[in-house]
Amino acid sequence: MGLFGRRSMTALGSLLISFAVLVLIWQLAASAAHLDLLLPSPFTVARAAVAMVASGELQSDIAASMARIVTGYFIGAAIAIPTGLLMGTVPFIRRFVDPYIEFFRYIPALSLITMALIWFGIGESSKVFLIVYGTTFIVVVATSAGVAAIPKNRLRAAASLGANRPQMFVLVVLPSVIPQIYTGMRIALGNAFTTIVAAELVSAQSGLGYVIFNARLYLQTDKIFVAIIALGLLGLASDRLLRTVFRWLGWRFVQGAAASE
Amino acid sequence: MNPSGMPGTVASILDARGVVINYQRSNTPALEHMDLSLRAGELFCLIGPSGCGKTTMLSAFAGFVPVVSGSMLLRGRQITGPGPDRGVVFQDDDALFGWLTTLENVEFGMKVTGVPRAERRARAEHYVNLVGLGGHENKLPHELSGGMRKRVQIARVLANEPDVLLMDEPFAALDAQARAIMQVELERIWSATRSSVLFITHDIEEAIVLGDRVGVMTNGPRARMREIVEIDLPRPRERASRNFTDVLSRCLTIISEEVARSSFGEPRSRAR
Repeated sequence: MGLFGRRSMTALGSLLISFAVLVLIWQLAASAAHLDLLLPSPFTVARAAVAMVASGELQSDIAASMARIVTGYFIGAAIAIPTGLLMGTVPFIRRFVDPYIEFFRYIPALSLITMALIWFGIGESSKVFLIVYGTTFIVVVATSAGVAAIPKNRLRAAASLGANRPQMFVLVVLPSVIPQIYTGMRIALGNAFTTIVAAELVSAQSGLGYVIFNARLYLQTDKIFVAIIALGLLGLASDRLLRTVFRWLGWRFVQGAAASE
Repeated sequence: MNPSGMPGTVASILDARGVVINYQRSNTPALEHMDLSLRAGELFCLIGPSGCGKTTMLSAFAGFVPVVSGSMLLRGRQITGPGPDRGVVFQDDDALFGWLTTLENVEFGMKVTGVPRAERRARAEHYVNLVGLGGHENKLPHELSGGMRKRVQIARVLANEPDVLLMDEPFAALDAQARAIMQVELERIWSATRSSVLFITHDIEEAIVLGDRVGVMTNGPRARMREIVEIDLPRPRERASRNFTDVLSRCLTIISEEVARSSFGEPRSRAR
């Protein structure tokens, strides 16, 4: 359709209209609340945002939070994807590792926050550790489930066409499993944001969670709103970026493998 | 009407003698004393009551399941596992590689066996056109209809130029119209390639329309070949002709007898 095709103009138009309506409702609610503390108006929040940008604090807090998320997320994925693939293809490894995965899945990253501080200190490592932890278990489960879900006849078909084991892994297993890896990574991304904000509430000197926590000391609800909106936008942007990366890998992997079933 | 066909008088490309195959994780034989010979260039249809082990037999020929005893030979060599000398067309289409286009699916076998790119492309295009998918080379499986996906599967195995085609109820999942079309198409393709085909089906009429010979299995467990019927009718087969309906009733009778032989008329266990 192109950037100025009718469909995307309509989508853009709807977005703008719905945004305008949202701001209007917000303004009305804020006026009804009377007190700027209770519900800061769009204008107040915008003003606070400008101030935070001017002083540079918003940028550095965003950078701090995102650095932790990105580092932990990639380390977690780098551990989880090969592990999940191994678990899916080698039954012995799956039997060995599965009970621990099933056990730790239900232990939320945040419950380990104190241990993380004790083990890694109050610096960046403790927070990155929590992200790695959360990401790893989500992506491992998604990946190994993805391998297990590959239709048996597809593997048999590949063997009957002459594929040996390495070829089967690279040419059939990997493409088949990409949609599930993508799903796992999307969920892990959301989880990373949740975890980092909570971790920063407890034990950080920078980051959006820290802003939210610190602002309570002076009842700066406008700053809190700026941080919240920033989080939402960053999450949205990250999700879109993830989708773009997987599309670049080949969208037909993400759509096609599942669709022929 | 003999139980196992006459091995040795006509070249047998696939030969199974006295085959015993157990149910998964069990010591009960699904198939016992099972004999089957596929002649070179023939289209052999295997039918039998539900669950009797037709698919198991095909899986054994394909090398997917192990044989407990008995011999299974392809051109006189023991079958030990899957390979490109035996192409398989499956009933369900998730055997297709959903992320690859029609042409890429068809090229897959040649790619993994190291056929050079130019020859690969040329052969793939030849078979894509042969099965009637010209113009759909760059479509993904989810963009194709059920019948078209079947054609992709057929072209994919043909392009590998196997010794034998093993087809496991390939048209069972199609609607009646698509099935009728594909039966005609298969006959056309088979006449053009003169492949040796083992075709499994539930549909007795389909078996008689397509087969040079029709093998009827007994009910499971411990199933074996009960009878082989030579179909001497001229092609294309006319379903309404007297000879056709005679053969059809004969086969129906045999199968009904077999179905009745298990209690309640239901097969007792599912073979693989």
